[in-house]
Amino acid sequence: MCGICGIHGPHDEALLRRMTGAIAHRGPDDAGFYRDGSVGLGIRRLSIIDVTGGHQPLANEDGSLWIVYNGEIYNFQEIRKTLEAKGHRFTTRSDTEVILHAFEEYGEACVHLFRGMFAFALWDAREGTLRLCRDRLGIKPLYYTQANGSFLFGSEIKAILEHPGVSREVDPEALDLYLTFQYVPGPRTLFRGIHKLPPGHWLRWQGGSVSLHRYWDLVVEDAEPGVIESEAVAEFRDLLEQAVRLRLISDVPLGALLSGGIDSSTVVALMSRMEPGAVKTFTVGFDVPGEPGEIAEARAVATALHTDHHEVIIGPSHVQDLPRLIWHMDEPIADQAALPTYFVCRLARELVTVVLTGEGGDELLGGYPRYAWFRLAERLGRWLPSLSAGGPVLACIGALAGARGEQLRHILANLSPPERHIAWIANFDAADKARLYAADFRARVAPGAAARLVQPFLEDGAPGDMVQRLMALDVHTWLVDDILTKVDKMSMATSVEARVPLLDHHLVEFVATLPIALKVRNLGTKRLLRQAVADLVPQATVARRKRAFQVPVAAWLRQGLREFTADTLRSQACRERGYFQPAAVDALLESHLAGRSDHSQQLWNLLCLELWHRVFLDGSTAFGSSSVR
Amino acid sequence: MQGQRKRSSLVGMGYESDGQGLSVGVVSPLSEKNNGTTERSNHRTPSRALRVLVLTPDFPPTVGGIQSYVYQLCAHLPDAEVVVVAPDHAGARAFDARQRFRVVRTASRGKLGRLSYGVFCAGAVGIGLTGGFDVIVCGHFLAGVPALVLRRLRGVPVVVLAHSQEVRARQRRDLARRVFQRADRAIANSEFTRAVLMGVGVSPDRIRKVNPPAHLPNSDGLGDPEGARRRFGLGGGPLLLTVSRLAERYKGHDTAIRALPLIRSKVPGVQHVLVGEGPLQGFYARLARSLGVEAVTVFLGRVEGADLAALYSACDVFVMLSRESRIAGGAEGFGIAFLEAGLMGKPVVGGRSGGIPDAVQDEVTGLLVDPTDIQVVADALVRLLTNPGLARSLGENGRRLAAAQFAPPRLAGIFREVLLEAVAQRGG
Repeated sequence: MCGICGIHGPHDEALLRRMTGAIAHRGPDDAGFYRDGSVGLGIRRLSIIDVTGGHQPLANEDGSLWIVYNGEIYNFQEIRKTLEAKGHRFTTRSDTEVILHAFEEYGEACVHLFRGMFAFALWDAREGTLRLCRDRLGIKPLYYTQANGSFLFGSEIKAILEHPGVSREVDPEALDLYLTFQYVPGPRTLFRGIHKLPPGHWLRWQGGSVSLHRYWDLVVEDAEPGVIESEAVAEFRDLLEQAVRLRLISDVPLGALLSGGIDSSTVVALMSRMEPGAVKTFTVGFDVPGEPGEIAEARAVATALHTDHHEVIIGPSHVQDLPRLIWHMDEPIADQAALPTYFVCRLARELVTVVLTGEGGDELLGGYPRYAWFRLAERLGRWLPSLSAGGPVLACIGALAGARGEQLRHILANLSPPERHIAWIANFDAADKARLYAADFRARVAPGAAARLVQPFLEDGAPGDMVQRLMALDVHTWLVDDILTKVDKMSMATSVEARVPLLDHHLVEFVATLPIALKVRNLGTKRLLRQAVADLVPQATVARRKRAFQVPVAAWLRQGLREFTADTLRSQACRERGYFQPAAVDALLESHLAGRSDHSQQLWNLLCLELWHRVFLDGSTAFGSSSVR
Repeated sequence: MQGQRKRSSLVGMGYESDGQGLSVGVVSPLSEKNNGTTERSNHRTPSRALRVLVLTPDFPPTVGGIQSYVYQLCAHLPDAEVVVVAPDHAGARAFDARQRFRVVRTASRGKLGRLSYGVFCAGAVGIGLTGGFDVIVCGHFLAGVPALVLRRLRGVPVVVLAHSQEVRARQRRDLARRVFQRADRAIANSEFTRAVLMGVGVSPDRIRKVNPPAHLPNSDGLGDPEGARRRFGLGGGPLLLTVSRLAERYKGHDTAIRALPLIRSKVPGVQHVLVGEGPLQGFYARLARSLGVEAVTVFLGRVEGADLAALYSACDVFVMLSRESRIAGGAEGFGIAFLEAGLMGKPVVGGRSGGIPDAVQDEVTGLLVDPTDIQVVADALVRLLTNPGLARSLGENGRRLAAAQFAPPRLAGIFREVLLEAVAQRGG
């Protein structure tokens, strides 16, 4: 795994070295640079395949094509064989070189051959074109911007920020979206003018202009007529095994992150069958007395699968690393699981360089209960229009159901699908924002941006049934910009490579075309997976209902983090940013700290945002080389 | 008891008795040549036409490989009096009127549902009881149910055609197994299907192979390729053609679509034309769009007759990448469309799967490839698109083979031998 960056435009070697140095944690093993006139490419390398021969940047035979590449193409040996048969000659054993030759052979279409995760840049000296490419689902990150006529890119934004011409300005609309989603949906970033390269896209920089084109998209709809459950399960199991087996290719030690849920347990169970010796598994738990949480479940799975199991326990004191983690993430991602992900990766790094994880299972296989609830809400809306239209009924139900009232209202309320989705997932909904935003800031954002963003996936005429549409929406937003970004940045922060077998594109494409009833039926989730691994994973794990990854942030905010949070959000610096009404922030804080209500997600969101400002805009903190061993 | 009934009925129908049983023919194992089709053996021809009852849920005017297979065998069966029982369908009356054999339509339309299946079975038994047939041929194992009832009542031997997918599918697998195991003869459309039948316990000595015949209406001339290109707005660039229903994923059209970006990188201007309709057309169109090849993936829907022949002759390569799938037993039992392309002198690229190796001879009439590997698929198609000499010679070989080895009269003759064998065995 690696970090890549580069520039096309006037620059000196010192700049390229600074850019590359900013992402040194992504590749502590090796550094490489290529400069020719106005083009500069930099790489930091974590050596995993062809440890000795895989130095980058790498060129083709005549030096007309140069590449820097971050990722793993698991089927590179197969592609290489075919290319060799066509006369291509290889000088390394690396997958990097396969990309070069495949590009020579097929041009941009070569990407269709690649099975894995990748982000790479290709400099074509003959054409004078710089190309960027990102994998289908966005497992590997890639950012770009233009400054003073120069084009800049990097695996992380911090590399781009090293260029003196790049200004660090907040994009107010991105901030507004962040408060809704808890991450900034691509292609925006919180930095005005800096973009995420969307998954499944090529970017061309030529003659001073950028053009993007999509090479892949997920098609989600029933396209296996006549399939019966047992056949689908058997085919799925085959593809699953293939996906895991492919991801065991490595010249360095590998292990797995184990949460105790069905996704990671499945991955570990398959690894146990394929790998000689006990699989090294790593779990994170929380220091909350009387609450064993997932760590006990993970331990049970580890025992059943005879793994070499390791645990780390974290508590409020670990939150002091939060500013550094936000520096690693480039943008605030108010996903509470970022913190434990970082610490479990750090634990893993003591023993392995590569970990397999269960990410993607929920989006792919229908793991979120809200999918089923959403559909139920749609049906209720059809069957009982009078109920959902009836305010008094809603009010009664809301009052009766107490804490669950809000969720129930979301189900019963007469909302359009985009509105319902936003109501469901928003950290801050429109009403919250009306209370929170300062007048000046409110004037700078157009209302309804979040709904407009999800509209194309959920509107009438979008393919698939409602649950399929939600799954497609999640793949395009939540999965790529929250889950995968978090996993990439947190693992790379500890110089560990994370591999996500459940997001193998063959597996994803197959599952996406199965009838929804095989994945979600009534309120049961992940049917297909549960059946496919019934013989692999302990029965208790197979039968367990989906639970959100429970980080005890609510309790931490009231106890160990009480002062830190209050001080941060009430600080002069925070107030002077001018986004929020101080009274509204105070009200949230007080209500939560007094235990009247749970605003932990909202407060975490604001906390991450403020810390991000301090790290990236105030320049008060410097991380970077300190995090590299 | 059954033998007695059988004998009397056959004698009553005009077969000569030589005092030692029936003189329908000599029962001997059929010899086979390397090319895989069964050789005609030395049966004596009965003194009158063989009376054949064909029960088939799939029959023209509906379109498909099974329909064509059953129809060609019936239409070319020599010295036989054929009665076909098939479900009714729009346009059936006009079609039936043109046939030289009788077609009885049961009052069930389209795909056989539970009720219409019952109607079909009842109709089949009714006709079978009144017709005095020598042998019953089932176009599909589902027709084996009324056929086996008739055999019990009348002692008429039963021959069932196997196409592969219906035997491999988990759904109704037990019924399929029972029908094929009990049939007097099972006819496999390819070596692959023969193996599938053996895999479900059908005795090898009761399996015969009869490849589907090659036939394409209006294929006598070259068609009008330029006219077809104009009519369908295809321009003058290189054309890949697929002719197939767009209903089952195992047909592999998704692989062809996925390979298209790679092919385009080598052969700019190439288009992939898909002829056929079905529930997956929208999916394939969206797949093409998701990969950026929607502008060069052309869905023409159903095309028949002279237009179809012209499209075949307009294309550069015919492609069908059927794979073996777990889903619904998916596999190409044979691939009649490869022969249609052959008749039009076109090289083909086929998936090395199922019964396709019976229809396509690798490096002779076309190229066989791993139908799941888009790189191999793209390379094979590019090889033919950029090598006109090779494409021409494979196409010519395809034409010769389709016209000789797969000629309908030849294969119908072999089919007849199998029927006689079944009659003789039951009778003897």
